[in-house]
Amino acid sequence: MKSYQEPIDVEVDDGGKIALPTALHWRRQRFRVHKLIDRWVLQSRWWEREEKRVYLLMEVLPERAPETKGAASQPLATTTIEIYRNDYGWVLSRVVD
Amino acid sequence: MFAHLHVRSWFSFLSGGSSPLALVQRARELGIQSLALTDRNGLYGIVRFQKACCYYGLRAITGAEVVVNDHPLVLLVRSERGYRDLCRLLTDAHLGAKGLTVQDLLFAGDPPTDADKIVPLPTDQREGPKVDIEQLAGRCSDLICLTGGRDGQLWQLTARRAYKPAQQWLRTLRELFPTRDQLYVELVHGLLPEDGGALRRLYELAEREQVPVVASNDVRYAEPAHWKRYDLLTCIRLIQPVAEPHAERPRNAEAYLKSEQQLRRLIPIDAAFDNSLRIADSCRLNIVPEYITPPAAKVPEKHSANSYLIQLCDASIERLYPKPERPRATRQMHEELEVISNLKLEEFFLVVHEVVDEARKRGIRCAGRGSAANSIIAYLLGITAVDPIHHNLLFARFLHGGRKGTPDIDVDFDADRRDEIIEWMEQRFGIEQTAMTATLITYKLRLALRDVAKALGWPMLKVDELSQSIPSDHASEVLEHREPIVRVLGESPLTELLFKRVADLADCPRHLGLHVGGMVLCRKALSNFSPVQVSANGVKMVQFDKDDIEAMGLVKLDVLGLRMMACLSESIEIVKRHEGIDVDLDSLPIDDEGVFDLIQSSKTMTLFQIESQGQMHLIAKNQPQCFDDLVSEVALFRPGPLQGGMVHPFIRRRRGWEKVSYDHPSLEPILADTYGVILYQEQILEIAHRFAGMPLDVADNFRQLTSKRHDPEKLELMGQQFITGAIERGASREVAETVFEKVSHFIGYGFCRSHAAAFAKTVYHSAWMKCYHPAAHMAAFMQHRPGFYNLMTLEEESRRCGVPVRLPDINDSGIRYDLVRTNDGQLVIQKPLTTIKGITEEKAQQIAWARMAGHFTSVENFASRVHLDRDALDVIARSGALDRLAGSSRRALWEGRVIANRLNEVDHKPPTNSLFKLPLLIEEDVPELKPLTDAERISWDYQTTSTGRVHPIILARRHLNNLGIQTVESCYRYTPLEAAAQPDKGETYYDNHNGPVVNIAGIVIVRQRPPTAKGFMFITLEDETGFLQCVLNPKLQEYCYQTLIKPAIIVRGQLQATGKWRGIVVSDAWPLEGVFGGYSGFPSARGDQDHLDDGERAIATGVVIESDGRIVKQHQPAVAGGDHQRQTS
Repeated sequence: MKSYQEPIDVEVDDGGKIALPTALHWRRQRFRVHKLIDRWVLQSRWWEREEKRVYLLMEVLPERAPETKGAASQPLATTTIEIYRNDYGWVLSRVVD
Repeated sequence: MFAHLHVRSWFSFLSGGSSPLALVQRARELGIQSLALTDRNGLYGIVRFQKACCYYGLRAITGAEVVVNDHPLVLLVRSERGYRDLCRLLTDAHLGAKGLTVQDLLFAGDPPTDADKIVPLPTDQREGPKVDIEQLAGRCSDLICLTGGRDGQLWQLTARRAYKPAQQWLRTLRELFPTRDQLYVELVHGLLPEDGGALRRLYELAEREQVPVVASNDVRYAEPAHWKRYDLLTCIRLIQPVAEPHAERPRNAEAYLKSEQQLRRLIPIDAAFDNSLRIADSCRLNIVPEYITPPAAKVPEKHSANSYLIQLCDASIERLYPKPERPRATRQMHEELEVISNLKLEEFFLVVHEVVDEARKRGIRCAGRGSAANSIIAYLLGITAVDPIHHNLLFARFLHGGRKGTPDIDVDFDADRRDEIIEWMEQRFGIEQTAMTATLITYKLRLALRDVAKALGWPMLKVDELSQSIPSDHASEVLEHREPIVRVLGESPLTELLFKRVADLADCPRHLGLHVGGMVLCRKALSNFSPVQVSANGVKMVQFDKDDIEAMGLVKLDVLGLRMMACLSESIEIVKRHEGIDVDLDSLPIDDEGVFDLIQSSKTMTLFQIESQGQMHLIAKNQPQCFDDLVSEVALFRPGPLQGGMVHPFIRRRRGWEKVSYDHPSLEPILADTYGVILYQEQILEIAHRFAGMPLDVADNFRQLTSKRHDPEKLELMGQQFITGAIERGASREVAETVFEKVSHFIGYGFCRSHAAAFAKTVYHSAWMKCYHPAAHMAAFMQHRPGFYNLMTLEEESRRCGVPVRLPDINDSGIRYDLVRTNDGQLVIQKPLTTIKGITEEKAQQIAWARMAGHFTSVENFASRVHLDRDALDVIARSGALDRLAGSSRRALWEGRVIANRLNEVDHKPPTNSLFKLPLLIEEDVPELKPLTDAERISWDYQTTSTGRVHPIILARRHLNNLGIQTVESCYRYTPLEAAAQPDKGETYYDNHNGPVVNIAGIVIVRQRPPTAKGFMFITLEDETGFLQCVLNPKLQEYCYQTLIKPAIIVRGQLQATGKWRGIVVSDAWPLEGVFGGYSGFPSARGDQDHLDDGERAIATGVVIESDGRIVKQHQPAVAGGDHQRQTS
C-alpha cells in the first residue's frame, strides 16, 4: 500500500446512525464507494493533543472508467483505499498499489 | 437481552479503569440485567460488586481471569462449589508466582519452626500468578470457561492464523470442560484493525469444533472517558512513560461497557448474545450471606457455647463487682448476653477470651481496646480492662440487635511477642482456617503524584522532591497543593495535566497490602471463602479487606502489636532485674498524685498518646486531675473534636471559666459528664437515638456518617430525619437545627469513650513508670521507640529526667538497652551495641558470645576473638565503643585497620609455624595521633550512632550568646510576677499579642502541618536545654520556605506561655548554617563539616552577621536562581 496522508472531500450518507461515506473526491475525480471492507478506531497521545481516527478500508470505483483502447467491455476496476476521519476532516491514508 | 461476561474493574490492580460501582451503574443505565466481574488473578472487588448489583437490581456473576499456560481464561462461577474451586485455583496461582505451593502453608502435625516459615522467592525471580493446565483439571465441574478476549491464547493463535495450534488448544479446553454448557469461544471486536478477521476466523473455528460462542467486549472500564485512566494505570504497571508505545497499552477507547445494540453491530451473531444470557442464568452464587461463620470455640462437654459463656461471666462478676454494684452489673450482663445470643456471637466471644487467656498464660501483655470496651461481657472475660459500668459506657455503640456483621474487637499485644500469639492461633484454629486480612492500598495524593509524574516523564529526582514537598492528603485535593507542586515542577500544560490525572486516580486501588493486625478465623478452610495469597514479607492473607470480610460473615480479630505494650513489659522486667521490685501495673490505684503532677507539668514526652507538642499544650490548659480527665484528654485531641471546635469550650467549662449549658434539657443526661460538649462517638449515637428518636441501628448509621468525611449529601438527608425526629420529641426547630449543626461538625475521626478509656489506662501506666522508674522506662522506651521523637531527643529527655545515658562499650554493652548501677548507686542507661550503625543483632550476638570467655583486653584481643569485617571494626572504633581499650577512638580506628589488614594477610598465608607467630600489632605500628576535637567527636557520634554525647548546639552556644540568641530553658523562666506569686495552673500568661519577643536556635526535631490546622505549621526546636514548639502561619511558611526545610534554624517570635508549657509564634526565621558551623572544623547538623567562609555563607544562606553581631537576613539570595544550598566537605 502506498501512503498519501492527503486531506480529501468525502460524501457521507447521514441517514443511518453511523455516517458512512458514499463517495470521495481525489485528484479531481469522484470515486463511488463500492464496498466497506473493514473499519477500526485508533486513539492516542491523550497527554498531548488527543486525536481519534476512525479508519475505513473500502473498495471504490472511479466515476469515469479510464479510457483505454480495447478495454471498453471490461468491468470497471475497483481500488482498495484506506481513509480516516479525525477532528478536522477526512484524510486519504493509503491506497493499494 | 445480553449479559457482559468479561469485565475488569480497577480491582485488577493497574489493569482496569473503573470501580465496580461505576460499572454496575453504567450497566443499569444501558438496561443490562446481568453483569460479571472477572478481575485479573483475583476476586478482590467481588463483594463490593455484589453489593452494588444487589442495590441496583442486577444479577451479579462472579468470576476471574486466571492465567493458564501464560494466557488468561475467563472462569465464571456457577455455584458455591465452583467458587471454592476458583478460590483454590487462584490460591495456587498466587503461591506458584512466589515459588510456593499449598503445602508450604501447611505445617503438618508439629508446631512450625523457623525453618517452616514461608519464604517467598526474591522479587526479581517472581512471575505473575498463573496455573498449569494440570492444576485446572479436576476443578472445572462447576466453572464456565470463556476462551478469553484479545489476550486469550485462542484469539492470539487465530489472529495470526495458527489454525492447528488453535484447534488443539480448543480441544484441550473441551477435555477439561466436557459439557456443552461449560466452554464458550469468546467473540470480541474492539474496533482494531485485526479484529474483524480474527472474529470471523474464531467463529469459523467454533462452528467447526462445535463449541458455542459468546459475545463480549473484554471490558476494561465503564465508559470511554475512563480510557485515559486505564492507559495511565497500564503505563504505571509497565513502569514506562506515556510517550513510549507498548504492545499492552490500549490503542483506542473501545473497551468500555457497550450497549447490546453497539455490540450487535460489531458481532452480528445472534447465538453469541443468546448464549450470554444462558450463561448468566446458570450462575447462581451469593457470597454476601445473612449469617455469620464464626470460628469454632473450645466448649467443654455438656455445655453449649451459650451456657459456657454464661458460666464464665457469672464466675467473673462476683470477683470483679462488689455486692452493691453487682445487681446493676448483672442486669447489664444479661442484656448483653441476650443480644450476643440473638446475633449468634457466643463462640466469637469465647474465641477472643481464649486468645487473651493464652497470651496472659504466656506472660504476653495485652489489652482490648476500641468499642469492645463498651461491653461488660468483654470486661468479664478479661478481653478489656475498662469497667463499662464505672465509666458509663454504652453497649449499643459496640453491638445492638440491628447490627449486621461481626463486631470489632481489637486487642493490643506486646509488639515484640505478637508473632508468638499469631503462631499459637494458627496452631489452635488450624493453619487453613486462619489468615491475615488484606488492606487496599488506594491512591492518595503523594502516591498518585509520584506515579503520575513518573509516567508523564519527569525524572526521578524531581519525583522524589515532589513527594517530599507535599503532605499526605486525598488525591482529589491535589489543587489545594498546587503551589508546592508548581514550585517543584514549574508551570506548564503538562503540570496541568498532572493535576487532572492525579485527581482522577483518587480512591483507585493500586495494590493489596497486609492489614496491620486483622486475623480472620474460620471454622472451615478459608479457601472456601477467598483465595489466599502471600504478602511480600511472607504472611498469608485473604484477598479481601476488613469490610468485605465482615460482609461475607467471616470473623476477624484484630491482633495488634503495640510497641508501648512492649515498652511497658520490658520496663517491668528491667525494674525487677535492677531494683528487685515486682510491678503489677494492672493492680495500681489510678489516682496517684505523683503521676498527675508529672502529667500536669506537661513533661509528657515518652508517654503514650500525649507526648506531642499539641497534647502538651492542651494538658497545660486542661490540667487533668483524675483518670476520667485523662480519658477526656485522650479523646479531645482528635480531628473530630478539634474541627468541631469542642476543645476550648470543654476546657473553659471544665476549669469553671464558662457556665455549663445545654441546648435542650434532654441532652443533659447524655452530655453532663463532658460539660455539655460533644466529645465521644457514643454521645452522637445517644443524641440521635434519644433526642432525635432514631432507632438504634439508624442512629449507629448516623454516627458512622458523621465520623467519616465523605458523603455530605447523605448526611444532609439524614439531617432532615434528625431534625424532624427531634421536633416530634418536643424540641423547637431552632434547637433541633442547632443540635444537628453541632453533631454534624463532629466530622472526622473521633474516639469512642471506651477506646479513650482503654488508651487512658496505657497513658496512666506509662506515666506511672516514668514517674517512679524513669531509668527503666527510658531504657525500654529507647529500645522499642513507640513514639515519634528521634533517639537524640530521647537521650536528652533521659538526661533531663536525671538518668545519664552511657555510650556503647565493647565490654559493657549488650544487645538491648539496659541499666547499670554506678558505684554511687545511681542507675544509668547503657546503650547496646546495636545502636551502632551497621552492627546488626547477629553481629552484637557474636560479640556477646565471644565476651562470655572473658572481657576483651585490647583492640587486638577483640579483633582476633570476634571475626568482624573491616567496616564493622571501623564503625565500632569510631563510635567510641573501644575507647576504654585503646585510649581514644582515633587510636582504636588506627589499630583496628592495622589488625584487619594483618588478619587478612594471615587468612591468605597461614603461618607455617604457629609457635613463632608474631603479634598482630606492635607499639611502633601506631604513630602519635591528634585527639579528636569536640566538633569531630560529635560528628563521629552522629555518623555512627545518630546521636551525640552532647547536644550539637553546645558547640555554637558561645556564638549564639553573642548574637543574643537565648536557650530554650530561658523561655520557661518568663513568668509575670503576679502569676509567679499566685500560680494558677493552666492559665495562659502570654499569648501571641503580649508575650515577649525571643530569639531561639535549635535543631528541628518535629515538623508537622496537620490537616486540621488551617495551613499552620508546627515545628519543635530543640537545643541543649530543652525543646519548644514554634507556630508558623501560612504566609511566613511561603516567605521562609527554603529556611524551614533546613535541619537547624533560628527563629524570632512572641513567646506563648500556658502553665508550664511554652511556645513561640514565629515572625521570622533564618537558617542556622553560618552561625552554627560556617567555620572550618565546626560540625554541621548533618554530621559532616562546614567550610564556608563568611562571604560564601552570605551568598549561600542569605545570612550576614554584622560586625556588631546583628544577623541581617537577605531573603533574596545574591546568586541567580540561588537555592539555599550549603557547601559541605
